Amino acid sequence: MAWTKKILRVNLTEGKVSSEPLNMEWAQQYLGQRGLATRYLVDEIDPKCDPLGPENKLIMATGPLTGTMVSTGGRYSVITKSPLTNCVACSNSGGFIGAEMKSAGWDMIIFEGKSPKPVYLYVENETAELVPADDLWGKSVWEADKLIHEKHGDPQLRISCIGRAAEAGCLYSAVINDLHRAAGRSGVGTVMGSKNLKAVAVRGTRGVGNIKDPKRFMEEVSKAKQVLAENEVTGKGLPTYGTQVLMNVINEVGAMPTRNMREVQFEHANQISAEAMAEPRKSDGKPNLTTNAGCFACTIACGRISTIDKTHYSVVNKPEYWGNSGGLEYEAAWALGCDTGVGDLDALTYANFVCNEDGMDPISFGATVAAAMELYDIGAIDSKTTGGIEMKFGSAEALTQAAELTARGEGFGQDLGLGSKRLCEKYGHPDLSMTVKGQEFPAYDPRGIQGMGLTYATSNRGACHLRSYTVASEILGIPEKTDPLATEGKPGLVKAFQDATAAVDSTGCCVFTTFAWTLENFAPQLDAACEGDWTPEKLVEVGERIWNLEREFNLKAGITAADDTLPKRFFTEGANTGPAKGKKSGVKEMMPEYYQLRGWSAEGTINPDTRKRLGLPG
Amino acid sequence: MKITLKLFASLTDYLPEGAVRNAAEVEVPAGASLNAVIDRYRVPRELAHLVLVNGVYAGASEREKSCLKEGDTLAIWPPVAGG
Amino acid sequence: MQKSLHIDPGKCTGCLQCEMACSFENEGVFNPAKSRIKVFTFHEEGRFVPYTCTQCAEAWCLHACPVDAIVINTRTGSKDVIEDLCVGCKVCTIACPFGTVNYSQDTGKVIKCDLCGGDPECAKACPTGAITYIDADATGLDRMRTWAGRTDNAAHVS
Repeated sequence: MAWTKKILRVNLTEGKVSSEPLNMEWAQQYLGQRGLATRYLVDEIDPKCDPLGPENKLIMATGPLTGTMVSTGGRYSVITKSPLTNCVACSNSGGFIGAEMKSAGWDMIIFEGKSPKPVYLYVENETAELVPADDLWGKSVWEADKLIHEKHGDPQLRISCIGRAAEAGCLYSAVINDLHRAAGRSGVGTVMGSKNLKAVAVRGTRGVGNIKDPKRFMEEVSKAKQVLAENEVTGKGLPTYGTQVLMNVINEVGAMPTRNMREVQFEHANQISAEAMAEPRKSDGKPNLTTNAGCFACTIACGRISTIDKTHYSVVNKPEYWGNSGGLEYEAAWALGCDTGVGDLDALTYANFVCNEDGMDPISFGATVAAAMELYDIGAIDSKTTGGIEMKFGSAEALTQAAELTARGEGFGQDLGLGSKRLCEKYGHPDLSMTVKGQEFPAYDPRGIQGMGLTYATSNRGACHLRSYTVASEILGIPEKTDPLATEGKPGLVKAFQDATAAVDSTGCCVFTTFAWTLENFAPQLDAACEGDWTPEKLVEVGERIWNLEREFNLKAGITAADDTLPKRFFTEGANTGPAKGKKSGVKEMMPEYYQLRGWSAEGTINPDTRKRLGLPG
Repeated sequence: MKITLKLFASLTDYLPEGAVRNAAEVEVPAGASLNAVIDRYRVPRELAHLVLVNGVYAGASEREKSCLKEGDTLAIWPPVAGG
Repeated sequence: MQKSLHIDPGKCTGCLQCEMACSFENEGVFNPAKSRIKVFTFHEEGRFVPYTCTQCAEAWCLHACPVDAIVINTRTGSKDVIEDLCVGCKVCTIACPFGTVNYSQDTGKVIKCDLCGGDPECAKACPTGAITYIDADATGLDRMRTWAGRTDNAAHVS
């Protein structure tokens, strides 16, 4: 229960939609969302397929708790094969559309094939149809969102949409929902664009029921909400300061990747931090931050709602950017700011708005601009290559121009849309790309936080902080403090975080709950809602199964142990300042222990007994 | 001796006058323990969750010691997280 | 003491916990589409505003109903719809100046807030205190206290 037990299958090639039952045996093994959709993907596509070809599929999946009153129970994920990494992609988003899908009666929507012409999917409860979208193609997410609402005369429609970046083939395009929430990473929006699918618009009025034990469920939900409310981080820190509170923390510990990771501390961090977002600005006396916002069912509400200074050069005479929209989160502020050396809060907010407006992952975009700036700095590219933009570290103008061009796929924006790896290869300096498996790093330097190096190197979707957020332990002391510069014990820590996170990502809830909740808090809520017996132990097993299933997909797609590493810079250049000064990444030393703990061979393949223990398919 | 005191997030309110962007240069007695400095600025100890001296974490036992030198930076946060 | 729902939009984060609590209490499912309380998002302004029936003393809906299907709950003061009597004519939805009585296609009746019989689930579910259930005669007390606190007291200055 809690699942609607129904999948909506959309064949874009033939323009047909159909309903089919959810495989409940798999639901017991893989739960929902990330895990369950990966199980379907593994079953239905060849891992070697062209990610941008019609043989790839794109799955939008909810979890069993999506659409319920469990705190943060509004998440959905987009699962497909990534064009950026050629690995499995799973990008998770909040907002409201996940719950709406569920309320319309669907656990998942599977898109297959490729539409001959631009279309969008319109779902109203049990009915679904593909609608021509020729008039929406070429429009930004914000424009298309407005037009679809108008066309159906329904202000309550929830919409996921791609922007012009995806249409132009930018390899890190996001699927944006509810205007400023994003299934951001690994180019899931690019896949959607390759299928000529512009948007998914959903109206669900059936509601989410099928709760196994409603009375117990409501009791467990209330208890767990209380835990979040009473926790200093989820009850106070995140709602007040958002994720951006990390800006000064990570800078202080010397793990702030700066100027394409040449440096580990950014001198302007305090100008773009959470504290800076709350300071009144000179022009109108208002701060950058207007308010915090919650996604569906979320009692934490870490989201930032911001405005840009109307007098800032980026928006002068552009009133369409004067209103409120999704503001800077830490990762975006880092990539657009520290990594490019830009310390102008309004320029970053503008670039972030553009990322939302046209559907780009701000981490990969910012990191790619940073790589371009290093290429420019060493003379590998010049202003002829960039169409006149002076791509200098620290140039706000270069950043905002780059954002506009990449969002629309124009000029040098075409190069930037390749992502850091392909850009640096194109201009002859592959070592300057700060990526793993083709995906750009997030905001933690692996020299200053050693566990994050292993996190990036082993993440199944390429460099990513959300696959095992050991920062919680290594820096923030949650659940307990470990030494960020030590490598001892980190393989076990990373594995534990990876497995638990894979389970949480499959529930329909947000991983930010885990600053206060453990699997001990998840299990009773799931158990009261879902058929089957859900214990913390079972969730760990489900998480480990998911991790290995993703790994297997990647191995079949051609990934080898040689890909489980970091860029050369982290082995040859020590951190230049701060507590980690002189320190390099210990990833190579940690890897054998990690493989062993995983039950993998020295070549990084899954041992037969591990496969058997977890019941992996095939 | 002079040190730089940095207080962040909700601890911003405890910064002495004249602080700029969460940092202030302050005079503390030589040999003062970290907890003595924390108390001196009335930062509630239970909110002094993340205590860093020059970026390095100081655990509960180190906070009782006098480990500050002239010119050091002491930075303090309440429990925070992000991602 | 009669109580009423009091809404402080400044505290709302738009999470819809109230809508889910309302629909679960009244419909047995988590379904914002069937909630008697609605949260409105004013995106450009960055504002979230919960809105529901304020239980008017001289209720337009009650007076408009041709079959007397809307009655005063003497214990809570709420104006309740008697489902068995409601004929689904929707005249009350026209009469209500605030739009807080709405028709339900599924049942052919109208639905509106009944304060959950005196223990409103929306207020209990709200994580930020944006919706509270307080003394109907003193909904301004907190705001008065806040402003009172800011009032200069010359005697103390000197």
